[in-house]
Amino acid sequence: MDVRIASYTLTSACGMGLHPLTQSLQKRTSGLQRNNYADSHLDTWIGRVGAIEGHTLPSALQHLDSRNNRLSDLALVQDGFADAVYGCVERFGPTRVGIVLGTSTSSVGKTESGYAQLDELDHMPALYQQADVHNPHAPGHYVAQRLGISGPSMTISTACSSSSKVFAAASRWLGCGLVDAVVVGGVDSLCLSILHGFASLELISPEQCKPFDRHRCGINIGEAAGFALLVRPEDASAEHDGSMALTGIGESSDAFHMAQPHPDGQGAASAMYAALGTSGLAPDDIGYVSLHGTATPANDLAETRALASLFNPETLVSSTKGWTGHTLGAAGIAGAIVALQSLKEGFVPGTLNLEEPDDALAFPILKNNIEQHYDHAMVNSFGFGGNNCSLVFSRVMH
Amino acid sequence: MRATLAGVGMWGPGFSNMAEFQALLSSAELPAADDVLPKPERIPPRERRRAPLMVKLAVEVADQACRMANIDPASAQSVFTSGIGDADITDYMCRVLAGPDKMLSPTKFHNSVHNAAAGYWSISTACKKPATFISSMHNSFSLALVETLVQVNTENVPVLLVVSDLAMPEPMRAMHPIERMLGAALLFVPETAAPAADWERPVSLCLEPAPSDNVPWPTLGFEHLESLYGTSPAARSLCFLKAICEQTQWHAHLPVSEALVADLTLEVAKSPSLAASGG
Repeated sequence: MDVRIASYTLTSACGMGLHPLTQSLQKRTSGLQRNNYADSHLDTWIGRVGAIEGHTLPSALQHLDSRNNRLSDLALVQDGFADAVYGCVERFGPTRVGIVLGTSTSSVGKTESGYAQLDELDHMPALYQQADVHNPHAPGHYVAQRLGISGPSMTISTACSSSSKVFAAASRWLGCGLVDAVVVGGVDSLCLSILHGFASLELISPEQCKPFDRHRCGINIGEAAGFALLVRPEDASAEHDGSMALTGIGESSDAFHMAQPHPDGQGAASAMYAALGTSGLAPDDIGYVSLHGTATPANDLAETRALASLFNPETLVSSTKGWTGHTLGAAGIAGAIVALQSLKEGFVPGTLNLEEPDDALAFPILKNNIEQHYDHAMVNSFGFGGNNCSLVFSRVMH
Repeated sequence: MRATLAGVGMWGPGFSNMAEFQALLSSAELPAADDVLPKPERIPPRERRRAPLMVKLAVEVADQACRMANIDPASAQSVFTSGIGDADITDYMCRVLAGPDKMLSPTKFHNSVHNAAAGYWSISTACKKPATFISSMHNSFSLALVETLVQVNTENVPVLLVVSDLAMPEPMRAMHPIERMLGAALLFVPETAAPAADWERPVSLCLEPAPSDNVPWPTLGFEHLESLYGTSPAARSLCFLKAICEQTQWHAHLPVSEALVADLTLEVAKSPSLAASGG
């Protein structure tokens, strides 16, 4: 498999665009802060994008206003991403560019606010009567309108694997000739449903999350929006980035439990195995694995068992959730873009906040950053419902 | 892209399978009574008690389609879709979160993911194949058809399409005026697959520029179903379900975006014995 990445960007608690992200990773400064979201009052840390509140959507799109769509709007214009998309729209035509976005919560934060103001007839205020916002496709619809794309547009929502699976779907669309370019990405924003939902499962950490640490006690919720523009190799022009490629995809289901991973990481292992299979690479070809690594006791243990079934323990693996928090439906694209920056810049991020690795781990986890050039990175994302996706990204050899 | 439709499942107002849907088409009236609720035996009892209506509806029709196709559910990938998602759970969560204590039920929270039905289905059938949930508002059914045929043709495996939407709770009804639930499932197999059932309908689909902007969905022609067809994204599948019942070749343009249609042909049933001999 060879799908080229013509442009990419990420906005998260580490900042807007690639430069602040890379700075945070290299200087090991976390984007997490004490929870100050709305009136949630939970004792935890969050990964918040500060610019959202002050941002307004273009006037023609104000009827689509929501925290999630504002976050997309902020992220789309970073790193020249929107301009790269406009170039494809001009070159191929607006119906030949597709959109596949991932989200877990879509714009449910807006629905929550509407419900908080229901009148005696159980109706939301007029300002909240937004049919194109209160549904799972809200992010795909917004980005299509914002970028002037009229090709096929869909939103994938498979919990925390959503924005990894967008790469798999888009690569199939390109392979079938359905479109000539695809905007993929993921966007999820802070909302009460997620903060209090994970609190109900007792999976929210009162401290900064500590992936793979013996004292880890759960996740920090983060918000993020990331995008990548995918084209066929023959359409990757010199002015595009073009030096990075999606080379492997693997998807699987645990068929085990709605909210717990298989304890041996069977589904995770089969997703990684399938991703290696489509890439044609051997485990030892993978220079770095960006882990799902949420810092829940169950995920971290199961993921190391899955790694141990496939990889040589010298393979570098880490979780970057200590920088951004767990961005849920945007976790796949966040992991993907960290991996792309790592491949491009020649450094491997360690695991922020990991101090004492849990003795029960079945695979060694990288704590500190390492300067190292390598050629192939894997990215893991696993979601509720036992929904798993692994991706392989490669530097293009010239 | 081509594939073979090998199984169908459906559940909606006044019908709980294909035979009852056929009867409803000729009855000219939608039953006014409350909808009968699905109780899919496919889900083990312990899980079924925790499963919300949206999950039961999707799993019930998925199971019908696999049984009709005489196929092991564990062998099929799946594409679940919905225009609005599980509005009952959204309603529950948003009402609790609007209150002072914000204490959510952990089970309802994990059931709130849009891939809940896909999760229960994979657990109930021990299916470890990839499963996805996609959405595209009013075009959810057409996009899901496109995605399903893409998967059949690239992965060369059976792929199950499951579409469902519920009646809307009051706060959502002004925006999404859906009054009745509807679920449908279509099981597609690769065109080259050996027939497993005694009923098969070849399907072809390609994307084409729309002849004009915002092409409407095909006329359904059944007055008692028009309201549901026009309001529920899942009920857009009714045009396809009707064509299946009519057993003649059906050609239609289904809107995919404001400027694209899916040019779709549902061919007449072919006899498996002919298919097996390549006829």
